[in-house]
Amino acid sequence: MSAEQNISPEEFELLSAYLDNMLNETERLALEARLAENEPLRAELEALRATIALINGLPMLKAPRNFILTPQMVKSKTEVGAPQLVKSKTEVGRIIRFPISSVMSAAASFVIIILGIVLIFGDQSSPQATSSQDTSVALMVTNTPPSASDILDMEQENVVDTSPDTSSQRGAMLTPTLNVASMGMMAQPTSTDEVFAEMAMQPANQSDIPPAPDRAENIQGTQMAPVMPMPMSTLSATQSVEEEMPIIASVPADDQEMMDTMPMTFAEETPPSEFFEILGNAILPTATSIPTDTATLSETPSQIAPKADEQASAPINITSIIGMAFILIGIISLIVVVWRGRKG
Amino acid sequence: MAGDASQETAWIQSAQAGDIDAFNSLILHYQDMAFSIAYRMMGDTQRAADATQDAFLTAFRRLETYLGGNFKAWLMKIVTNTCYDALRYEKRRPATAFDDLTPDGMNDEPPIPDPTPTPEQHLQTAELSQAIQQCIDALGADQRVVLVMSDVEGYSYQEIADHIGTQLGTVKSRLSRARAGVRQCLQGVRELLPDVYRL
Repeated sequence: MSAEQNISPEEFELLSAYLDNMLNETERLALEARLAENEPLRAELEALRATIALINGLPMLKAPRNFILTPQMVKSKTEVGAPQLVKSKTEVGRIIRFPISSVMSAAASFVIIILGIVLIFGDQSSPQATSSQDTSVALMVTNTPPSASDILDMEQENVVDTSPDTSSQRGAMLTPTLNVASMGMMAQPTSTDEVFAEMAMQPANQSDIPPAPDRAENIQGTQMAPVMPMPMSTLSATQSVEEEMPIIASVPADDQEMMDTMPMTFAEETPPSEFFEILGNAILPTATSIPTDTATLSETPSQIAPKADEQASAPINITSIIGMAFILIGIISLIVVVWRGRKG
Repeated sequence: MAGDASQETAWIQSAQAGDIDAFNSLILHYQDMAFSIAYRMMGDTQRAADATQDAFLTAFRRLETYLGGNFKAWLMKIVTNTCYDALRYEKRRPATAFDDLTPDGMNDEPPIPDPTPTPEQHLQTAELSQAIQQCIDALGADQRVVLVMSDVEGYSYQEIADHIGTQLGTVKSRLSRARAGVRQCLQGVRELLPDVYRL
């Protein structure tokens, strides 16, 4: 009908309320005045009145079945054979309803939050663990002498193994933990002497291997270099590089390759004899009894600890961030679950 | 009529004492009216039947809250509230459940009008009723509820506002828009309308 297009929603609302007698006196009089002089508005009023009459005149329908109740339906909490409809607001239990899925979602949210807490607190405790590991390393350096067989095995691995397929082991030797541990083990005088004695007694099975003492010095001078980086720099001032060069020159090609990858400070600057003196001085029951001239050696573990902390700082931050993200996600999920539960 | 009223009162009292059969008598007396209201609001036979059944079950469990007066109005209010809550529930979770599928013995055709003869029902054909119902179904749930409560059940604005928990002005505007929507919708089926209702 064209009249409707000329009627604004506000006017239509006035007409609707007018038919329901819901206008106050002022509004009613004003509208009636407009109706008297506005034909389209009057036509729209009649059309609206007819619409209401049509709706109101809709026939009563016959129920498709009987809705009689049975004792089972009354007793059962949910109606038998019919979908569960939402109860009225006033019914108990309507305010907060948690179906199984919501309970599972809430549980998952809790798990996520707990996981985040574990990540954060585990991350906070990791520096302590690192420091404790360093402490244990320091104790191992000073107070925990390994057995002679262990030392012998380690020595043989480090000393005798000159085969070309030892690149991975060389790489492993460069790791701080192994180096420090090796340093502690190498600090045992008896084991070192035994190794040297064994090395001296072993016949050279390869032509390019130097005699045992030189070989031992060579090994100590080359392969032990990365395990004692700190004291080596303090030792290097007493002897010239030229004294070490023949030994380095006699190293096999693979060892020479390893030399290229390791720090050159000791290999180039540390004399073997000075190194053995340090080894002897390092054999102490506690770190406090270290002589003054080898104080730098006793400082090595404590100096390694900050480096380890620095190395661990990056993953610590990432783990903390991940943990906080987990907690945030869990809290948000929990809020959503509770909110949806309240909404029904 | 007085006999019907006294009989109804006796059924109510027996039902309040826990007599399910007495309440079933009340159900049989009002189930067509309750289903009609539910169908106008839900727009679907199966969902209307479910809402009606749930409303009767709720009414029986809450019979102690009936303190006298118009039992039909009290019962139809429960039906209306049940349908309104069901519509709100479906609005939040717009999904078709297996229970919504038509079961055996119940098709989804529009229900048969009550053959009880009234002047209005004689004037309107089943097609017109179906066309009007389709126009009502095309409304949003909020507008549909207000329209049915006002123009089918005859509730006042204030009663509707109290029922659905909203402001009087909101009821007024929703009802106005609902009526305008139905009016516009019926323009497409003008040939079905009687001459006196040509819009």
